[in-house]
Amino acid sequence: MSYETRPLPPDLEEQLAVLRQIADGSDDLLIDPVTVGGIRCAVVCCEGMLSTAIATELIIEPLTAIPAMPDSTALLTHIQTHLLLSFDRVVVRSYGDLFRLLHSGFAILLAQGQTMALAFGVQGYDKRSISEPSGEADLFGAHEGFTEAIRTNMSQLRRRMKTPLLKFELRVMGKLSHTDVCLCYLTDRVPPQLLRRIRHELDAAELDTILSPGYLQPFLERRGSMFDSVSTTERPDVLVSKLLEGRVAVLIDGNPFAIVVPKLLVESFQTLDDYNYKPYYATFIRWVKYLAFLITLLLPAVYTAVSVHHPELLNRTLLMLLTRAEAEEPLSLPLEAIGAFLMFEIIREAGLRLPKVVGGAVSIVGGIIIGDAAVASGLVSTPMLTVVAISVTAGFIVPDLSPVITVLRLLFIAAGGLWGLYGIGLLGMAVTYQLCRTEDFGFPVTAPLSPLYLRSMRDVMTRVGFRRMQHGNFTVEEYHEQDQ
Amino acid sequence: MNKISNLQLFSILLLPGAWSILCIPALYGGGQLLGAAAGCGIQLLLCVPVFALARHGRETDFLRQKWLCCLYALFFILWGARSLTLMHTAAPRQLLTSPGHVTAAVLLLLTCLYTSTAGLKATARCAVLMLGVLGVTLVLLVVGAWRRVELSALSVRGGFSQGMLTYLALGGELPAAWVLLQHAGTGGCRAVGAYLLAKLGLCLLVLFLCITAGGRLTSEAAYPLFTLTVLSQPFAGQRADAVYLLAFVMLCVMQMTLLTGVTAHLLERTGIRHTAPLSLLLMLLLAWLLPEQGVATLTAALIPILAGGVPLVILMMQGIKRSVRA
Repeated sequence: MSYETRPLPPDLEEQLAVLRQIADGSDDLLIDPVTVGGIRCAVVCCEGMLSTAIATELIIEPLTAIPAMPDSTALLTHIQTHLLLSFDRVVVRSYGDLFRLLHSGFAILLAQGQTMALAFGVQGYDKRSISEPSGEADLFGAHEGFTEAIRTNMSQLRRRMKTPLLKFELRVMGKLSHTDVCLCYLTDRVPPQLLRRIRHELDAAELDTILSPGYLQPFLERRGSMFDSVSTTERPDVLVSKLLEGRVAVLIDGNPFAIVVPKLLVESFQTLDDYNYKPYYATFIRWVKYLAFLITLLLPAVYTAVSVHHPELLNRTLLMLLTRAEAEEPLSLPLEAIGAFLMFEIIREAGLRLPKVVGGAVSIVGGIIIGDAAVASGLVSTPMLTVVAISVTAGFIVPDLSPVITVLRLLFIAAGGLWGLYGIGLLGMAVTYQLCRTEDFGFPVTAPLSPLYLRSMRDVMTRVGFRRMQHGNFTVEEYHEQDQ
Repeated sequence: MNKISNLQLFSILLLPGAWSILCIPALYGGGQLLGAAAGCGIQLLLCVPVFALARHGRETDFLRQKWLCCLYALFFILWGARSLTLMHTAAPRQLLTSPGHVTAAVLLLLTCLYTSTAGLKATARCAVLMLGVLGVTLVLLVVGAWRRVELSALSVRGGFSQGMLTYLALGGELPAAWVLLQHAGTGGCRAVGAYLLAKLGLCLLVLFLCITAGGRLTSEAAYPLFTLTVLSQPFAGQRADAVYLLAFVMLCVMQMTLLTGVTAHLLERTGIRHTAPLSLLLMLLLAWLLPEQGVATLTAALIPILAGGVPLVILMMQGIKRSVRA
């Protein structure tokens, strides 16, 4: 019989023997025999997972003050009915539950003659305090991000949504890790069929462990698309705004990122700051982002295609400039472009993976190599370097699409270099089709652009003020496309 | 297959039509504008039987017959072959010489093979996005050509009949509209009507600009609009041809995808497998084997038969059946 379903035997010695046998001598298992109310008991906990001070004050001291009891049943009844001890109290009947709670920071009270135990939540493990999110900077937003502790993250959401309509649905996932995963949604906004299908998909997942959103993401989005149909955020304020639109969030214990389902492409161009600026400026910034996306994706490819295949499209000054610059280059333009971008990606990855103190140095060395040495040695021309720099900088404006941009940019350069604008056009159509076929649980990522929802254009083409935006009670359910 | 919205149906039909108009073969004079309007009127008349069938929800009855499915599929294959030929001849005028003809055809077919497997829903969504690309292209065209417009060049004399026939011959997507109607919601007929009017508007705009802004150069060119795009640039120092080139290629892919998708859908009803690659291969084969003029004439002759004739016969037969029953 698996220990998961194995019931607790009535004899305390046997209970502890089985406990030790399953733990197989693990050094973090602490067993303290104690007599409570004249009954032989044992308090079991996992070292480092609970706060010793809280456990002593809230559990041990009240337990030792219990008067003599006739038997263990009376003792446990007395504890359950007369003592508060901890808000988080669970009755345990199997070793599976016992170990799950033990490893979650609970103190377990076993008593002689009882086939059940009492678990008290006195978690006190060290965890990172709430700090500013590292990947989603906002000028006007809260300077609080999610942490690794799921309960802390739930409390951050609750602080921002003091309504019973915000529901948390905890479940345990991961056959070995027993990770707490929490579904969050607003009961009056969430599309019921979306919630049902997410629950179904999560139930179907048979993972050993869940360490990050990437473990669950494949279960929540359609296979075979390079565009994401679920997003992640580490900002509670952003997540609340998503929940308000009827989305479902998945929090994972041990990770500061929440998964949000479904995702729309236009969301990649929206930030919380947009809603803090005046509408005219927010609209301007949004269009800058759209333009930046096109520049980062297509500028190097169009530059390569036009220079190699359609020089007649350049005006005379530009043509002379490019001809002079490229005359001395040993590599062809497409190779030059691909090489420069690959070099940038290598330096970026190196800067990201190395310790922060060294990462800065790598960036400086990379900057010197690309910016100066490559040009001086004649490997890369100055105009190409300018195009690469503009393209890379423009890509930073839409970090959400960074993986897609990185790969597509190289493909577009190759297509433009080989077949000119014709190749770019064909690849552009293939990518657009790829984008258009991407949907999640019936929600197309291209909404509200296609299918077109004119009402939603007020937050896509423009950004109207909250006086107008407050009306309408928009939810993503409007975008759901029912298969017929 | 899934339902598509009226806007999607409108876009899905207009974009292939727009591609045909971009490749408009010749200018015959100001009367061509009136001819195009008359052609549009005839196309609207051709739609009447299907609109009448649609009132009773029987607009796609003719697709229940396998031989009719094959006939329509054959037409779409021929229309696809015509489009490939047009691409082959028109592309060099658009400076699309880079890949070489064989490579260009192979690349186009590979792209269309991929896009046609994405399904009608993806095509419909893509069409709405492409409508934006078409819009930007037209704005650039108008901004660039507006300064060159000379109204004195516009004369209503000459070109009426040629204009009408040319316009009618460009309506190859009209039979596709009947196939797509079954996937549209209520108001699909209105979307078809709107498409006909929008296509007429687009054609009139292109003809007007070609005649008034292009002068003698466009009137003597094989593809007047391509000449116009070279002549008229919205900015003094920069050329906007790249936008026209990209729009040209993208609209071509849209048209080929629509034709492949519709052909594949019809052939599936006859029990044939691997219909999308088969349709594309047949299009390529026919484009290679058949003479360009022959294909163009055949498709032009088939359009009124398939768009209006067949639905009219079905409508009449249904009327006869009803009267016999009564």
